[in-house]
Amino acid sequence: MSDSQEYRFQVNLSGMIDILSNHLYSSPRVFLRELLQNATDAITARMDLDPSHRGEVSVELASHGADATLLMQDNGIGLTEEDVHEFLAMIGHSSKRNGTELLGETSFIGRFGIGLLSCFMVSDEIVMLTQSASGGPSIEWRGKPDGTYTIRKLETSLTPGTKVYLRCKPETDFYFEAETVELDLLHYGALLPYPIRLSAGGREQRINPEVPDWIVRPDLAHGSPDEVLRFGEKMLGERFRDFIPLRTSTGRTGGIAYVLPHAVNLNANRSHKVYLKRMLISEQADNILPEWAFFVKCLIWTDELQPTASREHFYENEQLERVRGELGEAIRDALIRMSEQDQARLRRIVELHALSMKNLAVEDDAFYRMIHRWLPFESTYGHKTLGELIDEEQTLYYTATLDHYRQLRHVASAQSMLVVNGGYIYEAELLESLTRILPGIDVRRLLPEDVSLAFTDLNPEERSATLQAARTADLALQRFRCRILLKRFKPEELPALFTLPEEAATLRSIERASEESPQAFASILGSLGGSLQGEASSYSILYLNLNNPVVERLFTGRSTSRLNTLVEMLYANALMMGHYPMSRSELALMNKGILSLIDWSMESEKGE
Amino acid sequence: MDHFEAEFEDLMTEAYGLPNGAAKMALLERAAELADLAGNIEAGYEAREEIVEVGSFGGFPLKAIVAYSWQLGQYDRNPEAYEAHTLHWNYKWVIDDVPSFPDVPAQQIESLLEDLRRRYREYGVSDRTYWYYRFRISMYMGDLDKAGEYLNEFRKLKRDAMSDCSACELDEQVRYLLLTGQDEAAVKKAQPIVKGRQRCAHVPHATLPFLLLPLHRLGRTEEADKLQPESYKLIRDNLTFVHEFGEHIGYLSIVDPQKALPLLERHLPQVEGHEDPLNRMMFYWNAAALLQKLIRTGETFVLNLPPSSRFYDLADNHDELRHKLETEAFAIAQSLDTRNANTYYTEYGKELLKERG
Repeated sequence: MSDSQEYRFQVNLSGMIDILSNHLYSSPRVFLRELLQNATDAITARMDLDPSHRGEVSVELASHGADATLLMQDNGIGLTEEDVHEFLAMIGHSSKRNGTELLGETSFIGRFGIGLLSCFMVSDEIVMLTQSASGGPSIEWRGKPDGTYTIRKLETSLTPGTKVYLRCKPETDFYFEAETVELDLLHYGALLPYPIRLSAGGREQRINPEVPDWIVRPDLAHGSPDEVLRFGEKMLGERFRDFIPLRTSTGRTGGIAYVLPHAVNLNANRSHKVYLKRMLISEQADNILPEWAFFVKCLIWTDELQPTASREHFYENEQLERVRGELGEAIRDALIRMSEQDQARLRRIVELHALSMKNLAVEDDAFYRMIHRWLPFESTYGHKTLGELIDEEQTLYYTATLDHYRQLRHVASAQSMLVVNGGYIYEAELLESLTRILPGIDVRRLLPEDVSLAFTDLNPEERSATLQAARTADLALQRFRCRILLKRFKPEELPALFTLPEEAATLRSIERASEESPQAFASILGSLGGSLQGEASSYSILYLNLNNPVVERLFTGRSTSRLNTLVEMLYANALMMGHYPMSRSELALMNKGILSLIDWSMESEKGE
Repeated sequence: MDHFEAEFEDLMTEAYGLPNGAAKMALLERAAELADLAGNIEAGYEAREEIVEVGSFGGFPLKAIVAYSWQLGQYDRNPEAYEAHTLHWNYKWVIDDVPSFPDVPAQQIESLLEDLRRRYREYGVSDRTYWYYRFRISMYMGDLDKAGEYLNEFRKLKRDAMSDCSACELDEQVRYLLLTGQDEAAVKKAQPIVKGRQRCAHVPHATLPFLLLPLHRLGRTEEADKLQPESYKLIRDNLTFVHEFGEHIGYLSIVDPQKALPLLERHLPQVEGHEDPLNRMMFYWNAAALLQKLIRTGETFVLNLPPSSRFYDLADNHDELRHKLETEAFAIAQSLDTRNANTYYTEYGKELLKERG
């Protein structure tokens, strides 16, 4: 690279190292990745010249503890004297000139230098011996973290390639231990297409397995499923039972999506292992798949994405967006194919990951259309899949909240209505949009007040017989803004059903909070509640069941002065049965009622 | 009691795993009810603390106000039992939403601001946050002169433990510049946000939608075009951004109305049931502007609304739908203006329709 710039900034190398180690890289451990990356780049460059060349990397560890040393050797392209000067010059440049590229996509030589610098995190001296494949003398470079270095031409000629020697600096010997190095080499280099060997303590071993074909061509993965699953277990530490091959249209990104064998939290971190040009770039890449794909954990390789400066993540750019879209597409297509060809398999996956599937279905009609028959729901007909519920060929009622479902469940079961619990995370939304994907299906939202549609009205005689008592009862509950309605309905064991339209529910919660609030807030709640109060829909309704013997006696029997108290008790009882928290005045009412009941029962005992 | 605790913990754990939204809110409300049924005030407080957060950042301001009122009452009765920092901090979220409700008289908002000032002083922080919220609330109430004065007061004081994050503060100052018609200054001030140097959970989500039209007006159409999809992606799943949905529709109405239709279809059914009248109004106006634009230019288009929507019957009757949205928006504007004793929002709506319709 010819350099037209006349002035250069002097870079304080120790300051730079401090920046690298404390701000850029997540751990000093990455020095090994940087060395491996340098070796890989060098081998790639050599293979560009000579495709028949077979790359090799070896690492040797010697001594223990504070004297430990590490040697990494590659048979890549090597560096000429000029190359060495060039990368040193690159480091000396202000990073401004190339912007973020200093650490991003620079030339091989530039990156090489930066990678080498990262070794100062664990070593106070770097010795590099290198012989360029294009000839010239072998070079020795010795660098120190204070920025001083020496370059020497060697008299003997080495075989082409580069060796880097590191001596551990105080308190970094951990990074030179055989187990650590072995783990990290595998970690970073598992997908490299040439052997990495490690020798330590007189033992030499190959670190990375032969790269299986189906990693490079995921379409082959279905040919050897057991091997794919075993590989996944080794690389991702979980025992999987199912996987989906991934590939983008460019063919420059691919891999395997393993279906997680357990349910996952929607907010959980997604930790896919992603390899850039065969080197591990991240174990926490959470932005390489669409958010909805949380039921898979992936091994992905790519050579079309740009890493961030730390080389631990990818830049969020259009390229990444396209790749993310296409990988998502691959998962979707696989699920669609399963729905056509292998329904048992799909069913197993859906059951395990119902929540995330529902979330996806809410956002994506096409996916919903494909998957809907397998999504599980809770209903008055039991826990069933939506497909099974549709096959009942009944009107599909759903409630908007869990509370509505709980209130209505018994009443609805007694009248054999098919009611689906829509109050659980995404259910109501899904059921609401069901008509959009299945036109003509009879789906209706059921409000507590709608249940009364199935209730029987009283006949004219009954109406006049109960009129007086009904009016008195209505008056008794007026202060709770609750109306009573007398009906006949199943089951007869149920004396009363309390229903709360949405506005009434809001008002109820405002009033209960207001009882507890400081003045400034109580008045605001008063204003907010005030606007709702005028409307009829802000009244709750207490349905009293004339089929119930007690209710029948109370309303059609001899009139009693105790009616008020008894209706209030039925009201309180219905609130409790419906799991409604009670306000202070309602609690007081119940206490008073219970005391009255005790009092009356003792009186009647006296009478006996 | 053990049974209660297990069920309560299950609900809370499940809620923590969800994004801020209706599903999470439903679980938390259920948890609060269980706590109330069991008479467990600490648990009720814990659930409501979450309700306040989800309500403030997930599109349920009324629920947040109600839950917070209850919490504050419990705290006043027994200050030792609860964590003061969070409670004081959350006051800001709640007070910020109150002016959206026209039923709350100006005098009560005033009392609330003074209550916040008193409590904050007792808690040992300066009036900075008080002035900052006066500034914000004056903007919401259409009094931009006052807002400017309060902004100056706020700038005089040093940040402290109750200060909003610097990204949020910057966002509000950008808003002030926009509302006072200073497009260029606003866009410039917003640069750290646009570039991603200033960000938090709420910024740039809440900032970018309001920069689309100013950029367009400044002739920087390419930037606006590029920003629109990026900005929309940040907000589309969160119902706290109703006004922002509207801004996107309004912007698209000017540059590419057909593209705004999917947004309208997606969000109108969500917005019609939204608690916040002010944000609903803003959305309706932008929706009406879009329909007006499409009708005016004679473009053919279809609108697909779900049967559960209040506007379902009008899906094919575009002009009537437009009229209805407009009327409802102006009705809210009227009630806000009456409360605020000005004509700010009514004028705002007319201008908006003129520019975007």
